[in-house]
Amino acid sequence: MKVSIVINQQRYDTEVASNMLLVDFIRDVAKLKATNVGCDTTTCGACTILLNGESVKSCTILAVQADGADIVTLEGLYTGDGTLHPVVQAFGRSHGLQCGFCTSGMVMAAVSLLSSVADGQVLTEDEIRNGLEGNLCRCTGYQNIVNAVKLAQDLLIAGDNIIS
Amino acid sequence: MILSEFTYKKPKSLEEALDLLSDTDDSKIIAGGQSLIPLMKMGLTGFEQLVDISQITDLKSVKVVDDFVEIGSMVRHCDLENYDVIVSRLPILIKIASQIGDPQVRHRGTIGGAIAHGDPASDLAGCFVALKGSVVLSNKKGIREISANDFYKGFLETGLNDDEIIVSIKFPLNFRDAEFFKVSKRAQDWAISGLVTAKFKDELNLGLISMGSTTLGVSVRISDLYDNFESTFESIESVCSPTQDIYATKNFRFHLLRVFLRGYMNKHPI
Ligand SMILES: Cc1cc2nc3c(=O)[nH]c(=O)nc-3n(C[C@H](O)[C@H](O)[C@H](O)COP(=O)(O)OP(=O)(O)OC[C@H]3O[C@@H](n4cnc5c(N)ncnc54)[C@H](O)[C@@H]3O)c2cc1C
Ligand code: FES
Ligand code: FES
Repeated sequence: MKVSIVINQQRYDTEVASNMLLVDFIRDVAKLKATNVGCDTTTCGACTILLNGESVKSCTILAVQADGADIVTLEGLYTGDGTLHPVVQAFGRSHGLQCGFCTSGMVMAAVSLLSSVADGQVLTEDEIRNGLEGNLCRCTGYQNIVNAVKLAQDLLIAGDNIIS
Repeated sequence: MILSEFTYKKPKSLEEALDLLSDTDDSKIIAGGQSLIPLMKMGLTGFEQLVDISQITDLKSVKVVDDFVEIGSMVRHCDLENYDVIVSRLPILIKIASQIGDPQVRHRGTIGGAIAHGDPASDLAGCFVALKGSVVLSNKKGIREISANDFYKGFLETGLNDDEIIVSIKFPLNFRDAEFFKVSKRAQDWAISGLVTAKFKDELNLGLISMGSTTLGVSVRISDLYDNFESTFESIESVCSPTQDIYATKNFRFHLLRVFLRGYMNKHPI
């Protein structure tokens, strides 16, 4: 089947098999390798990306279902101007990762979570933990990840609120 | 990884979707795919044609009709809180939907899929049964309605025919004291046991989650429940047939149900 999918502002027009998963399209067709496959059972969240602005698990979507969609992966958060996205900065500064396998999914889940917050609302620690319940990390014990998302929230409130 | 290929169709209208279903014997509907794709990966379902109903705008509306709220089957779990009528009249749905899976699952999963799947652990199906809802089904010949009580037949088995699509789910508004109880082992997880309650006049209607091979419903007289808890509990127990698995024994599931009912009674003393 022919699909047309935009990933990180680049359009991919190509034929795919009906049973191809979106995560395989991202990794093998678009050759973007930041998005990981951890479980392939909708559990770990390592494959989390933004689909039309919302976090989804790309191992549980067919590429054909994403025809016409606008997708952002971790690579898409880098604008190329030498500065890092606030959420990525915060993960670095808070040491919100160890092996890094979950990190791409964690960052995308955090970006989606923070962009869903109404103006003026500040997420509590509990809300952050709940918002990340779809992402597993086998290294950090989560504390530094939660700290990173809190810091990212502070950075976003202090600076420009634009995250995409 | 999904092993077998199929024909994929994404109709724009309900008519087109119903034509596709009637043209091919071996079709499957996909809504959010959050239950179906995991089954496809496990090789537990196979079909020639997959009909994606996500582009059909007619399935995405929420409206009040007489004393019912009618919710289009393609309304996602995360969308429910965006409708004023659901916030004011059916807040129990939002409470339940906000605890399904995780944000990623809630961004894809739909109310129609949750009701249609027939999974005994479906929280929304428990609510559908407790609130005495009904599903509006359409095929090429017309539409029909099935009440929640008659809808569930067995594990992943419902009264839905192969050529039918759930257009909407109707929830009546004449209930009171709707409550939701759920115990799961981890964040994001399904219920080990769950209960939704709704009060209709002098009866309490129960939607039982993970207490049998499919969603179960049972109604008890309020006076019996409060005056004669043990024998009333026995009558509830007799309709349940929970499994024993790595998460819980049968007895632990019954224990949870007992705790849920006591929790309801403490919250709503008479
Ligand atoms: C990690 C994870 C955790 C989850 N946790 C929970 C939980 O805690 N509680 C809970 O209740 N659910 C849970 N779910 C399931 C979730 O609620 C699903 O979204 C829901 O069960 C199915 O909705 P869907 O739109 O994705 O349906 P799909 O997967 O697209 O379809 C499911 C079935 O319904 C049929 N179907 C779908 N729509 C229609 C329609 N309109 N007419 C006729 N047939 C239709 C399909 O043919 C298929 O057989 C979880 C799922 C995952 C992946
Ligand atoms: S790989 Fe998608 S959730 Fe684990
Ligand atoms: S940093 Fe290793 S899994 Fe999270």
